[in-house]
Amino acid sequence: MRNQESTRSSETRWVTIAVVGIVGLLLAYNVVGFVIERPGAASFQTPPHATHRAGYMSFVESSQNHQYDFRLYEALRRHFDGAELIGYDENAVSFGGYGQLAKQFGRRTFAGFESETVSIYDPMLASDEALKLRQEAVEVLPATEHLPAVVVVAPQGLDRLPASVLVLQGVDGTRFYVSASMVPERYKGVTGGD
Amino acid sequence: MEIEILGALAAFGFGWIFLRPLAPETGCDFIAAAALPIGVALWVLSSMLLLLSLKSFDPAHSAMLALLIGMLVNVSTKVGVTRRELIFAAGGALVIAAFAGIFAAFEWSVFNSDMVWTLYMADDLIDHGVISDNMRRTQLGADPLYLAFVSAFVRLSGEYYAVSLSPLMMLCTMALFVIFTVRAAMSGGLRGRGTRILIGVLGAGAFLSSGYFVNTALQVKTHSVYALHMLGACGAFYFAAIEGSRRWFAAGLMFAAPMVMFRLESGLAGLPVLVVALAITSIPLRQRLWGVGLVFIMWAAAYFCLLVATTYYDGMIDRGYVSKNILYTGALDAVAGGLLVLLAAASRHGLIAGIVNGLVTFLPALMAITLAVLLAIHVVVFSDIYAASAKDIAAIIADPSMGGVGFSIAAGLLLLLSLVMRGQLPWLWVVLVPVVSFLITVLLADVHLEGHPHWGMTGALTRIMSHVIPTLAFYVVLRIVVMLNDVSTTELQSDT
Repeated sequence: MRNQESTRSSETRWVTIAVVGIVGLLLAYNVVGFVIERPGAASFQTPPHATHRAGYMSFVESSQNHQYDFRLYEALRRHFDGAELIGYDENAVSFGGYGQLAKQFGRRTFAGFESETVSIYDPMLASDEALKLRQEAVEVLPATEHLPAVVVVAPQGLDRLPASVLVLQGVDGTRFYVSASMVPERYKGVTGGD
Repeated sequence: MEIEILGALAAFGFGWIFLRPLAPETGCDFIAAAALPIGVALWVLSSMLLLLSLKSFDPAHSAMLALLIGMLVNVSTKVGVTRRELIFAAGGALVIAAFAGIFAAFEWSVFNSDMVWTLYMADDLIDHGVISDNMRRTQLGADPLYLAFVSAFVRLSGEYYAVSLSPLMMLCTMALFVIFTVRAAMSGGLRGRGTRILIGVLGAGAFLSSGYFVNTALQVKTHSVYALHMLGACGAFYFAAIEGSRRWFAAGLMFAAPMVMFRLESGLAGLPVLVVALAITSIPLRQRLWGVGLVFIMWAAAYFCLLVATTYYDGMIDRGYVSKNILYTGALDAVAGGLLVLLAAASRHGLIAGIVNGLVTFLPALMAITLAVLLAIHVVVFSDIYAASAKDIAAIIADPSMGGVGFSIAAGLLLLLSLVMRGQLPWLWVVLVPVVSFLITVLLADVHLEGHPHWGMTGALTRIMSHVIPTLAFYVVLRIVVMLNDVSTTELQSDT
């Protein structure tokens, strides 16, 4: 009987050591991850994700270098006269980028900029239509071209039609693309720009 | 920063007033840890009720209503305020205020791209004070209003968005984790109690600092809130079951009820939590039926309102693919709620009560088996999608950049260890069944919502899967602690 109790007590001790060891190691692994900035992990040095900081910094630097041409966007806003022009890109708005955009365009406006791929998000479109639109845009603008593209979708407030205008501007400021198939007749031919 | 501290303190206050009648059984520490999330939920619920009654959005009015609801609960329950309670409340408020300031200053939250649409809704709430056509046409049918309300409160003061919300929720999750495991550790014999408490504290720190959870929870979305409420509900129901405590049961319902405001899939994905609550036989049947039935009805009402709000004046349903899901889920919740309330009314009769009690006891097992069978059928029918999903999920677990490697290894080892060791572990299924059922539901959704594998850094399902991480980690740690409790108690008995 005493032997059985002793064995059980010994088992418990070993289980306890194993559990505390495993949990302790995990905690140490996570803490070290924070401190040494393990790729992809949350970190105290670049909270909370390195890619977001990179995207944000890239946006801010580009903005400071006047790489992005805000005039196109503003011209489109004037053209649509009160329409809510919305575009977005997660790097641009991530981690504070929204503040930059809000200062530039006002609180109600969102715009997006991206360096490699084209994002399209239109709440009036079903997802497969949006994907198709995105595919069309990517075909026109090869992904290797590194376009700081301006994506503008204007579905709001005009009418009940699926009015979607997609405008992309290349680095040189000359390349536009309008998805005519999705645009109501009265907006066809619009390319924007001053 | 000031507005975030003020908002957090106000929400803590609402939550504390609302929850404090539960303190005699749940403890003041639990009330202090749960006050902030429950307070925010109460304030959002008040805002929604005011919107429904055609009052325009005003944070101050919502605050007054939240305060009124909390005071009514206090008046009806007549639980006196104790000095110990006030000390805990003051301490909790101090901690919340300090961390709200720190989190707001450091801005650790990631601005998820979906947040743009949430801010758009928040701005519309500010500008129009009601649910506008713009909101109907954007994300109302896809993104929860919870974050829009919270953001609107912050943006009214000129700030961009609620930076401290997600980190504060993570802090409260950690506090709840520690409080739950320490409570479980205290129930065993004195021998080894310190080690069991250490396991609880270490476990909370270790699991909740895992990159996968942190990266997901720190996004300015409702993932951290949902994960917290799931842990809160499962933990509270576990103690309700083991202690036969009605107050713990009520606490579990309070955590489960607002889930529908955080995520639109909650009416389905959160269902296992309520099914488990129904089967806790240590709580009187009538209370279970009324409580769970009313939560189902509340969920159904939320879906009904959302459906009305997303429907245009001419009857055209916006974003139909979302609205249909809202319709079906709301109908399911309405049927379940209605049935349970009817059964509660009929349960005065001994025979009916006996039959119902017997039936609901089998519900969790029936649900888990049904989901498992459904998953098996899906895996066969949609073998290509599930093969790709399995590959993606394995890649997520194995990819160091996702931050889940350490978590998975540690959780797997501990689970294996606890399964190998014997021990009487009653009611642990209250925590496990919702986790397993949720994960299977997410896997089933992979086909029905996405139609293709959608896992990875940017996959919505990957983020949704993180909702069960604190609860799963809690189960693993709890299992070890309860097992050691059992050994300690046995040793104590043999000593005497």
